[in-house]
Amino acid sequence: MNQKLKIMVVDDEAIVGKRLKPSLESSGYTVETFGDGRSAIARLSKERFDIVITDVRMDDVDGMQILEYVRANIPQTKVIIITGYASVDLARRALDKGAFDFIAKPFKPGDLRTVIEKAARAPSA
Amino acid sequence: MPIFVVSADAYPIGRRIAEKTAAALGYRYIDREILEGIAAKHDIPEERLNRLLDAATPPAQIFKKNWRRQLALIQEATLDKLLADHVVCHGLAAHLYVLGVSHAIRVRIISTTDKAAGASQTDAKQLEQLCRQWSLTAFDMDQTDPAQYDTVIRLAETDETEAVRTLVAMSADSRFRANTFSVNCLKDLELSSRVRSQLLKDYTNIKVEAHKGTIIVRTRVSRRNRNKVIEDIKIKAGNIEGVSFVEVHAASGLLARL
Repeated sequence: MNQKLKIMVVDDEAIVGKRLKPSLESSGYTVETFGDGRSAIARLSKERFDIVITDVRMDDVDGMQILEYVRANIPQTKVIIITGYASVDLARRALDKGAFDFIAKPFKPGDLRTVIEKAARAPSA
Repeated sequence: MPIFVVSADAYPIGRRIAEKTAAALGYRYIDREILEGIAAKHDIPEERLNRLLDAATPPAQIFKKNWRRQLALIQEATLDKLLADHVVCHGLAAHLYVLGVSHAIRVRIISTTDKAAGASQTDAKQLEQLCRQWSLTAFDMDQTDPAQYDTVIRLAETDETEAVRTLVAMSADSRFRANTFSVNCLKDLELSSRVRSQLLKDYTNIKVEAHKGTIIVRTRVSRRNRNKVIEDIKIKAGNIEGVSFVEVHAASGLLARL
């Protein structure tokens, strides 16, 4: 992955993107935020991101569908799932579909940065 | 990497399979050897801890306070070991308290009654009933319920070598990969068990939950002592490493439930 990582954040709770964007940008990443899955996938079809951070529960296109899209079309992009509804079953389903990591909300931006750094170091699929 | 939590209806068989799985995967193996350290640290005869895990029935009510605390000490020590990756754990009742951890593969080995346990069908059923009762009393969990496990291996339908092969293959399943959520869940379990075993020195009815340093303690207490107990628990739990906040729910009255 490049030195300046390109990160996409997808969450229908606007506050999540609003808080994560400045925090991640201050770490030197380029960040784009999206409030719904459909526009995120439209953007992914045009632009390459190193890491996609997505919520699971969203109307219309959810985080699992974004994960499936990324794995099928841009497998070198890592997907980190964030959710307020974490469970053993959901974590296992996400990992089975190829998620790089699974994080329960709420979390500290520092915790997410640690996972991002791990993802950046990990070999591409 | 996942961790394996193996339980069996016959200890020596479960041990053999778990040990061979650990060796095949190059994982660390933990079993009752850790009881020696617990016994020494808390000045309890090691034999008593072994008997506690082997017993088919819970003790009489008057002995339950010590019994619960000693089980809690085993739980605390086991969870501490499980925080490391690459572990196969057997023989420490971990299947009853490693719950909600997605990278923990929970395995139940059921040996054939005639070949392995040497018991008749009726004896086996009675034994199962006792096991069920023991696990419900000790950890509120029915260990005979197959739904509690990721895999149940019946040795009547396979053999030990095949059982090991199955477990080794499961280790490569991405569903059981450690992730931030599951590691945090395990850390929460470890912290709650540390707090619980500490509080069980003084209290009998204690349930503890942890979430990233925040501790919720539930206990039953007389109305007269309520405030005193809450304050005492807050101080004791608050002094434990890793605890940042303590919330106490103290229920009073005859019908109070934890």
